Amino acid sequence: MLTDVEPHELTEDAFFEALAKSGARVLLIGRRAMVLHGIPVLTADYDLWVHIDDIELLNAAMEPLDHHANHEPATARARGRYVLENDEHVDVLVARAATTKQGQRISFDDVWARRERVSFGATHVNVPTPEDLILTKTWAMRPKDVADIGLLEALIRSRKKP
Amino acid sequence: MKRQQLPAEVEALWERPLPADEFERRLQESRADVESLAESEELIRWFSRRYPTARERMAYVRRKYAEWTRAGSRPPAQPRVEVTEEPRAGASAARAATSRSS
Repeated sequence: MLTDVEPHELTEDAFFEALAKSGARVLLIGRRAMVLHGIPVLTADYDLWVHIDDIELLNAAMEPLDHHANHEPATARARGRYVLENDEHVDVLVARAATTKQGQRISFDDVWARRERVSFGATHVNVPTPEDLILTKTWAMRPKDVADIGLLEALIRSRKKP
Repeated sequence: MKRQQLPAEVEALWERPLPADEFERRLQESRADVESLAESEELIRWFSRRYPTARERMAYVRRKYAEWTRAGSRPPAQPRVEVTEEPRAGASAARAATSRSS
């Protein structure tokens, strides 16, 4: 019954279903991806990484959910990121590749090819592997990224143990 | 979603980019903290067993975040973040960022 479902649960299901059905190559990154992998971290935001050619598909999928892009696709491509917003704040990274400050290049296509598909109710969510999430955490090099890398490395070790 | 507003100085400590060598130093320091590493692994094992599905995990995070915003600036069941003390890198900071449900 609808009265048994909390509104935000329905919204999150709808959000991930929209991503899955959008036809866009889009990855959930950031701390939400860590949570899906099994790491309990707090966050208020959603972070996505979308293929540079698929912005329009993603935006079209979010429109029925009343989440709107704050930049036109051409501007978003030039800026390298934009936001989808309404009730939720969704940071969207737009880049064929990103390079860490140490000079390591991470391409969307490579991360996409290695992605893990996590079941979420009746739908699924595409997330980078923990190893690739670690690489994304080296982009900004903040203290919180040090903490997150530690947790991701702990997850990787946990997965290797029986 | 109501967002937690951290004091500006705490936000800066957590979000300010580090120089590359300092970032690497803190990573190595966290990797050498054997006790914290073991705690992180145990935390992840507990969370994964207690909330085996993606939906349950996300629901847990929403619930805990809502508790945190209702309680004010202090995360639930966590020690207070000392503004005057630079947080330890690695697992200690990770512990400050996570919570365990009862």
